[in-house]
Amino acid sequence: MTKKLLLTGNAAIATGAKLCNVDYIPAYPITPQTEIIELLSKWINEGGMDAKLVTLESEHSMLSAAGAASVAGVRTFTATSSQGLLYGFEMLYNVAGWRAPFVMANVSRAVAAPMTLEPDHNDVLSARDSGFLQIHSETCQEALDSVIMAYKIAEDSRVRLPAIVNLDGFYLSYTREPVFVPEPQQVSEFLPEFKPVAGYMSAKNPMSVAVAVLDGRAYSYFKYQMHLASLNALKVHEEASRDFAKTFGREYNAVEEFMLQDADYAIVMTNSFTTMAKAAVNELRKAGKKVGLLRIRLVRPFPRRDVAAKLAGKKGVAVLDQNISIGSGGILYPEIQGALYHRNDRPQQIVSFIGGLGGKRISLDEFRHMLSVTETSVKEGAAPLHSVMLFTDKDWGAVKGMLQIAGKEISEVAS
Amino acid sequence: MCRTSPYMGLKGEEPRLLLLCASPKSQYLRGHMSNPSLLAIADDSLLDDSTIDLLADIADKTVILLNTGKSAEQIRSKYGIGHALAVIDLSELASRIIGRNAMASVALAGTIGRMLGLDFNDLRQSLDLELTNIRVGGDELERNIYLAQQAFDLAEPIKLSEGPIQRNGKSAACVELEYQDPKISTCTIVSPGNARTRRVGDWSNFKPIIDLDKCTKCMISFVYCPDSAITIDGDSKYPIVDYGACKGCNICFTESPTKAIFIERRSKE
Repeated sequence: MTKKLLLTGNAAIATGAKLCNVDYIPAYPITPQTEIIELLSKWINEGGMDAKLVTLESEHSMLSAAGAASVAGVRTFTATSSQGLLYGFEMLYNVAGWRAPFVMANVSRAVAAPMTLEPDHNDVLSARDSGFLQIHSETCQEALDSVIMAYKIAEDSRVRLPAIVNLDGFYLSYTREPVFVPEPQQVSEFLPEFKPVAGYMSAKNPMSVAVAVLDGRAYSYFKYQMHLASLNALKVHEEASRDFAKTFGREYNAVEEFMLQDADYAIVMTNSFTTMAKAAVNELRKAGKKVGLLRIRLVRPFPRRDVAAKLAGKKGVAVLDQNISIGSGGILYPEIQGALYHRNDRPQQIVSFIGGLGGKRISLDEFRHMLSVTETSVKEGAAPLHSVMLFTDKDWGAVKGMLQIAGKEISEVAS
Repeated sequence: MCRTSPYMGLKGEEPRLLLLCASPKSQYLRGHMSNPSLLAIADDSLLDDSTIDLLADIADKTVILLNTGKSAEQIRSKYGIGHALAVIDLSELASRIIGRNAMASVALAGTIGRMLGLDFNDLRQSLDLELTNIRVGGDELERNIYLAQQAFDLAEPIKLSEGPIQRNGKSAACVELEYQDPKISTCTIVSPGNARTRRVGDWSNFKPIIDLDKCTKCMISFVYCPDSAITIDGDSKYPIVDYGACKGCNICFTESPTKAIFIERRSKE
């Protein structure tokens, strides 16, 4: 029988990896991810898990080891976060280019400087162009389930790319939620043992994988093959989603809608803060506002068609990026705009917001503000030129206090 | 449905702030929780921490449970709390049953469990699982369960406020940030030594006392103190403890070669 346990997001991820019968785990610690590899290490040590865990000297080596094992046909798992992901950055493009279908959990933590341990998505989105598939989860349950789905999709020969399962630091990593833990038997049915077929290295079939310098023609060919493989993952994700629902009774689509169908206005978000937005949507609905929500779960490949289909016909769309591309604004905003531009029934206004940076709470007041700015944009036929930052007078009061302690002479800078 | 989100612990080892939502249906709660039915505060030093501001977002009907050695009257008058308030010295109980470095979380679990009307056997099962997972076993496990039982027995079930959670306090207005000169807007600290404004000594449960009769002025405590809370007196050359900076780690107590340092629980000032 399926067990229901109170698990942290980290424990859910580790449980997912265990259920997938991973064989090799190259590891390097970083807050708020470390609990994942600690748990896996503990289970292996106690004999409850048959895998090899190796601690490497950096994330760069960790990713190299993961890629190498994976192209040798070994089901491989690893995990990192924030600065660690960035430390291994060069290898992200490499292992993706090797077409190494392993799964990596990224526990989102905002990138320094300034330094924090709490989440936003500049870390994981920095890897958006690397070739890794990206599944972003809202709950601990989804984190566990996504690990299982990620292997299914990554190992499919129509895809064969590495995958990141993203979960927010603290808000999921250290948050306990009731999680249904599937039976190993069920997981084996959905995700059979990894049987590497053609294209994987073995002692019997030696090959050169990280091939040296190519000319532009060959480079273009291989790069574009990766792109096509990633686009294939849209369909493979759909299939996996269907099979997953059949086996486990929980369904995850590329995008999730919440009170969206009859809504005039939509909020678009990713990851765990979506839960706060759902609460806000419920409150705003009580106040008579026809607002709904779209959560993008599959961030790479980007589900352009689904996003456009769900948002077309709305009056206004508020895109809430929990990230900031310095000098441009929200990272996902232009992708959502781009998905809708060619449609005649595109929303009248699509407005860009930035919130929740460094784990800053997004209050109901801020969600209200988002809706009000979007309504005004629709009414006036013009949206703000740049991303609107969600920041309250209370936040400013707190920051002002800190600046004063730091010895700064403050004049009012907020209006 | 149950969600907990421990914030980073001030004392390192254990979370001091735990958000727990126990409800038969999903509440769409994530992170910060407004207007809780029960606010359980694991350490009274949290009330002095302006970065957390625990009392800012509670409802009139919120019941407060506080682990403290102080009396309810002392707490009420110091923090202006008018809510239903239960004070209980769980740290003292934990140190009595487990020993000097005991953490109060198991005791807190017992008390909260009782207040929420849980069956102790269910709680025992959970504690068994949790503690075994972090490799607490044998006699130590038994003592922890005993601690939870004692803390459970000290409390009474409470009547939790029901119905929709009411918004309390005034709403926040969104502001537009404008550009500021880098001398302000870069992440720098221009007034050195401001760590003094944060009394980390409030975090500790224990304080070291120096027995001058036994002290040989070897300066080992001064060298080992990780927080530079021990200085050497210029004239007498005896070590002096700055209790505002001492976090109560007890390293000096452990290292003193002549056992010239003993440990006392922080007084209930």
